[in-house]
Formats: sequence, C-alpha cells, structure tokens
Amino acid sequence: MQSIAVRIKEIRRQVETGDYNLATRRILDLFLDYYISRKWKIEAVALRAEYNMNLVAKELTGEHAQSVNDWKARVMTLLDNIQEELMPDEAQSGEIQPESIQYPVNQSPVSSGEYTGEKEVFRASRITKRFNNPSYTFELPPVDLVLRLGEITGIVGENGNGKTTLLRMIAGDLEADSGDLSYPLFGGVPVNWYEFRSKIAYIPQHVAKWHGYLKDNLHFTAALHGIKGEENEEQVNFIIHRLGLSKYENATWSEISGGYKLRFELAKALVWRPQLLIIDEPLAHLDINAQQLFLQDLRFLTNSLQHPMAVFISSQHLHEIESVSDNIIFIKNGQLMYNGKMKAFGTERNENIFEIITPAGAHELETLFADYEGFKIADVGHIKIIHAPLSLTSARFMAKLGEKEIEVQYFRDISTSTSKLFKETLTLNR
Amino acid sequence: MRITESFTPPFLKDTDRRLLLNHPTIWASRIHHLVFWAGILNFICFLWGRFHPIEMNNQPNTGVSVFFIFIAQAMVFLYWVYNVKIRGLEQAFGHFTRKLQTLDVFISLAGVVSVSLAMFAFSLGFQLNTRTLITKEQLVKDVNTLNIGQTILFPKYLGRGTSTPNYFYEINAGLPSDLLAQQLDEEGLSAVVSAIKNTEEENRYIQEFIHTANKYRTSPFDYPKALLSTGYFFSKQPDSLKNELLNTTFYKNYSAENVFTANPVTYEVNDNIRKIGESYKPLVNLYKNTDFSLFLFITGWITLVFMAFKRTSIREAALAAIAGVLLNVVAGMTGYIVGELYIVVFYSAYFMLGFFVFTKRNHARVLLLQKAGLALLVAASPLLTLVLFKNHDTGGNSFFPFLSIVVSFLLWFLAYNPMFIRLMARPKNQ
Repeated sequence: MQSIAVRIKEIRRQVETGDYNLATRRILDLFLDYYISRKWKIEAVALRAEYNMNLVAKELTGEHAQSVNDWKARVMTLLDNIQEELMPDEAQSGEIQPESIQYPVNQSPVSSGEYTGEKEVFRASRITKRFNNPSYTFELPPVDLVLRLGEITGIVGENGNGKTTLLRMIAGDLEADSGDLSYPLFGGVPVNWYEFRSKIAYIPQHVAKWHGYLKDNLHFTAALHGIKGEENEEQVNFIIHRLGLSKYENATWSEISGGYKLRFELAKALVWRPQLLIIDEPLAHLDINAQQLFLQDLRFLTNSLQHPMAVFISSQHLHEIESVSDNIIFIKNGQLMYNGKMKAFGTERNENIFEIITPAGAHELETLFADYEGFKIADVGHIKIIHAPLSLTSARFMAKLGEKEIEVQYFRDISTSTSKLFKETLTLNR
Repeated sequence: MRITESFTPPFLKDTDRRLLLNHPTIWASRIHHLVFWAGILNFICFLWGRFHPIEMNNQPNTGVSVFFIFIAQAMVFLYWVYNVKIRGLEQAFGHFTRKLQTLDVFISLAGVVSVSLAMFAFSLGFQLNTRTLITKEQLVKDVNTLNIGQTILFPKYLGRGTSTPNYFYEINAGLPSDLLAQQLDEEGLSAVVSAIKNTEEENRYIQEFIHTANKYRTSPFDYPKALLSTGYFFSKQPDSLKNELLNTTFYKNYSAENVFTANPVTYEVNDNIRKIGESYKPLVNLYKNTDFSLFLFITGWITLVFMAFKRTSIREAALAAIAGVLLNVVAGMTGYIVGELYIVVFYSAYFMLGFFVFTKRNHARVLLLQKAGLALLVAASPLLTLVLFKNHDTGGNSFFPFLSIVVSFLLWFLAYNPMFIRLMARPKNQ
C-alpha cells in the first residue's frame, strides 16, 4: 500500500506544479492498477475529458483562474477519495510515509507501484527466416528472445535488416523457417493460431485504413474481445481519454493526422487489455513531443499492476527506444550485434564514446585532451565521434570544454547506447 | 458516411449501437442496415408492381421493370458486400466462436434472401394489379378460359416447338391483343374450339398436351401478362364461342378461377390444381413450388460465393468473379448447344488450373487450401447453369435444386468450420 501513497503524492505534486496532462493520465492509470470504485473512475475520466477538451488548458492563461482552481480542487478531492478508499488508515491520520521512488532503467519517469513480475509471454529459440526473392536474398540470423510481462523489448537497426520480419514472426503473421517459438502465458506452442493471435495485439508499420467513426472501431474491437455493454462503453471512454484522443473520437480515419492514426491504433490495441503488444516503427509517424508522450504512455501502461503487458517495439530512433526499453536487440547487416538487457549494454566497455557538434576543429580538441591516452576523433558528417578512455567521463569532457569556452551545439554520451555499434562501424569504414 | 447517416432513422441507429456494444459479429455483418434498406426496396418494388400503369390494350413491358429492379438489387447487394468486407471480421482476431460462425452463415443467407425478394415483391404487386384490372373489367369469366391458353404459353417462351397450333403461341406472345384478334382468322378460331371439344378423345389430347407443357415452368413475371392478354383476346370473341369453351369438361374440371385465387406465383398446373386452389395454404404452396426451390438455390449459391470472397482480397475476388461469369457464359452456351456435361468439367478444370497459377504467390501453403476451396466453388458454378437447363428438361424436377441446396449448406459449414478458420490464421510463409 505504500506504493499507492507515493503515487498519489506524486500526482498531487504534478497538479501543484501545473503538469495537468501527466497528472490526469496518471490518475487514470490508478484505475488500471487498483480496484477503485466506479464512481471515482467516472469522475477521473470526466476531469481528464475536461482537460482534453481544452476547457482547462484555455483557462491556464489566467483569464479564468477561479475555474482552474475549481478544477484543481476537484482533482485533489478525487485523490483524497481514492486515497481514503485504498488507504483508509493513512487518510485518517493525514500522514503518508514517502517511499523512495525507484525508476527502472534509463531514468524512465515511472514511479513504484508498477508490475515487476517475471512471467514469460513469449520465448523463441534460434528462430530464423530466409527470403529467396528473384532480386535479392535475405536471411535473418538465429534469434533467441524472451518477452516478459512488464518489460519493453526494443529492436533497432537499419532498414532491411529484418526488424519487421522478426516482429511478424512473433505476432504469428509470418512462419519461421527454423527454431522454436512458444507463448507460455497463452498455453505454450501454438496449435490453434486463431486463438493465440486473438491474444496478441500487433500494430504493423503500415496500418490499414479504418472505416466509419474511430470510436465505433474501438467499441467493435473491445466487443469482439468480449468486453460488452456498459463495460465496453466505459473501457472505450477510458482509453480514449487516457490517450488524449477525445478530440477526434467522432472523426473518421481520413480526418486525422498520421500521428493520431498511430495513437488510435494503440488505443485499439490497448482497449482489450492484451498481454503481448507488438509495434512496428511507431515513432516514424510522430513528432518529437508526440514521440515522448507515446513512449511515456507505453512505459506506464506496460507496467500496469492489473494488466501488465510484454511490449516488443521496433524503431530506427535508437535513443528514444533505448530510453524506455528493458531489453534491446540491435541488428546490422543481417547480423545480431546485441541482444540483451539494456542496462547491461556497455558495462564492460573499454572506452567512452561521445557524439558532439561543435565549431571547434578536430585538431583543437585533440590538443585539449592530449593528456588522455587513446583519445580519438572521427568525423561522421557534421558530427564528431569521440573515442575517449574510461577516465574521461562525459562530465569531465563537458567541463573541460566549458573551461575553454568552446561552444557545443549538440552532445550525447553513447557509451551505453547501441548506437555506438552503428557509429563504430562507420568509424571503421572511414 | 455522414450522408447516409442522415437518412438513417433513429431506431436503426439505436439498434446499431446496441449491436455494436453487445453483438459485434452481427454488427459487422451490417444485416440490420441491409434488412431495413432491402425492406424499403421490396416495398417500393411491390408498390411499383401494384400501381404500375396498366391498361387492357396497352400492357407494360415488365422486362424493363425487372431490369431496373435487378440493377437496384445489385447495387444494394454490392454496397452491402463492400461494407461487410471493409469491416474484415475474420481478420479482426477476437472471440469468434463456433456459434458466431454458424450465426454468420445464416446472417449472410438472410441478407442475400432479403435483397433477392425484391423481384418477388414486384411480381406480387403486379399480379395484384392485374387481378384488380381483370376484376374491374369483368373479365374473370374470360380469363377462366385462359387455363387452356396459359398452358400453351410455356413452350413459346422457352422457344421450344411442339405440335401446338401457331396461333396459340401468338395469343400469348405479348403482342397487342387487338392485332392478335384480327390475325386470328376463322380457321384458327375453329381450331381452338375443336381442340377443346368436349369429347373424350380430344379431352385426352388436351390433358396430355397440358401435362407436357407443364413440364416447363414459366417466369412469374410473364404470367399475369399472359392472363391479361389471353383474357382480353377471349373477351373479344363471340359469346357462343366463349360459352362453348366454358361448357367443356376440361374447364369444369380445371377451373382457373381457383388457381387465380390461390396465388399466381405458386401456380403449378397439375391434376390436383383444383384441390390446391380449394385448400389454399400459401406457405405450403410456396414450399412445394419448384420456383422457390430454385430461388433458394440461387440465393444460397450467391451467399456461398459471397462468404468465400469475404476472406480473399478484392483483386482475387474480382478476378474470380470475372472468370466465373465468363466461364458460366461459355459453359452455359456449350451446355445448351451440346448438352454434354464434360464440356463444363473441362472448362472448370482449366479455370481451376489458371486460378492456382495466378494466386499461388505470396500465400502460405495452408492458405492454398482456402484458395482451392474458393476455386472449387467458382469452378463448380457452371453447374448452376446446367442445373437450370436440366431442370427445365426434366419437367420441373426439384431434385437438382434440392441437391444443390444440400451441397451448398455442406459447403457453408465446411467453409466456416472452426478448423478451417484456424488454418487461415496460421502464419504465412512470406
């Protein structure tokens, strides 16, 4: 019960600091994680709806400060009520003991109270696929893979390296040439593929057009998965407001942008609470802000206490995917460069690698860091790739640049990022 | 969509909503919309037939109406198929149980039947229209004599020669009755009278003739017109002739008044016609009538093809449909001219081979089974043409339609067998 206390406290802080978007989303997440009365759920959805409909956002300008205060007061009251229902003792004493928030890998903004189980959803052992087309031949190397509830596994790599192939095989859309695959949570090795595929949510890279109203499609999908009647109505409203889609719920497919199409696809996948979610290149359609929002939502929903998921996601946006992934697979030139825990990547490295864009020349930098043995610079386009000894950390590197007042336009430490595999190859090729 | 929605009555919208939230399979079938709009179409067709301008000496060409009704039916049907297709129930993996699969079969059949009934609605309206006119014109007695003329009508419409005097054909050929009356010379009239003389020998001849003629079923759309035409012709004849006709044993035994009262659609002249007329039971008559069996067969066949096409791509469906139509034309013509079954079998085999070659790429081996099923259905469709011809040749024998219905049902359940659905869901190999 401590975790709910921390979460509620965190949400209160978000409301107080004006992060209403995150606060309302996290309130809705409480209903995914805990059994809370339906009346509070309705109120939570209503508050989120008011936010989504810009009723509150407009008032943030200060013209209707009183209304904002009213809205905030209702949010706080709702949190009080939820707290009272879930933690009657603490609510009465008025004292909530804070708990240290344990963020998972890469500082994902996920508070405690998340699913941290180890249930395997999917397991593959040395699955391969080979395409013999008239114009080219492609072969996916043998892949071992385990997808667990509450974990996000990302697969990154260049185009044509087999990301989609692997995703399709896991989704049951493509047959593996060799190797074994099973879905332990669904009953093991698939015999009845229809039944198994009914439990897998798969969002392909090129999604098919939806016909009719978007909201009707969500109702249909939910009903088809056994969520009917009032529950269907509530679940669809919940997911629409949770993902901030209420503005377009009565729109049609052709009336929304590519980014919203993807988010509606996500809503369609999540509305029936799948345990395995597979998404192919979702970030390609999203702008930077939408990418962050999308990944943040994905992280939150993956770790839901009541309905945790295993997520397998492909992308070429290495850093964004790495920031939310628990496991990572990197494929390059048909070779499996890395397949393991994200946090384990780069721990046994013998150098640090930085990316930097600066007006300073390579010679100037080499002179500046001449004391560090093994310091090397390679130009990759307008970005310089710096190979530095472990003693030269990113903090020290930046501090030294600051001392010399060298302008830095862009900097990233890729020592523990799979992108260095890509950069290393580029450097070697030069 | 919004345009069609503005024409949708509130009760239909409510039904749609209820089905969407509780019965997604039925909702996706769009049967509720189809039945509503097909009901309106049927009602309009009935009114069109019932209040179609008609005069004794200016009988309308029902073929034009039938043509436009066919176009309307085709449009409604295709719009329905499109709406069902885009919702892709089979692709939306969900709780698609055996019960729902069976339900979907009957929904599809009901949909096809509801559209197909428009022709019958028109026919019914037109028959009532004709009957009103005949009653109004006090031609009932004259029409009674048609009992003879009607039976002679059939060979003419089928284009088959018998030993019947030519002017009997002309009477029923739909030519202006006045013109017929002028053309029918004294010799012809004498032949009519002599043909139905109340002698045992002639009566036997007439009965044999009727028995032969009744082997050929007539189109229900021509029947009221023939009634009118012949009735009008006889109304122009001298009373002495009419009295002579009405006093024949034949007329007394086979009173057309009873037949007419029964229902022209279900009309089938046989030795029990009088009894059927007296104990009028529409449903029983409908069931007994071979036309209805054929109707069921055709609608069943369309349903079957429709359901097979639901699972294939638009391209494949279009190719199969075009090929099927062409094949039917060729096979039908060949079958009609040569009358040999092997011609049809030859074309079917040829078509199946082509179909397999054309569609074998990009499909898993197991999906070829589905394609084989579809190919088989389409390839077997020329049998429909053959059955129609055979049916006439066997004098309205209902064995073939009955057998076809049984086979169709078996194929439906084969096509919608859960095992087949499971096979469909298996991963592709490309």
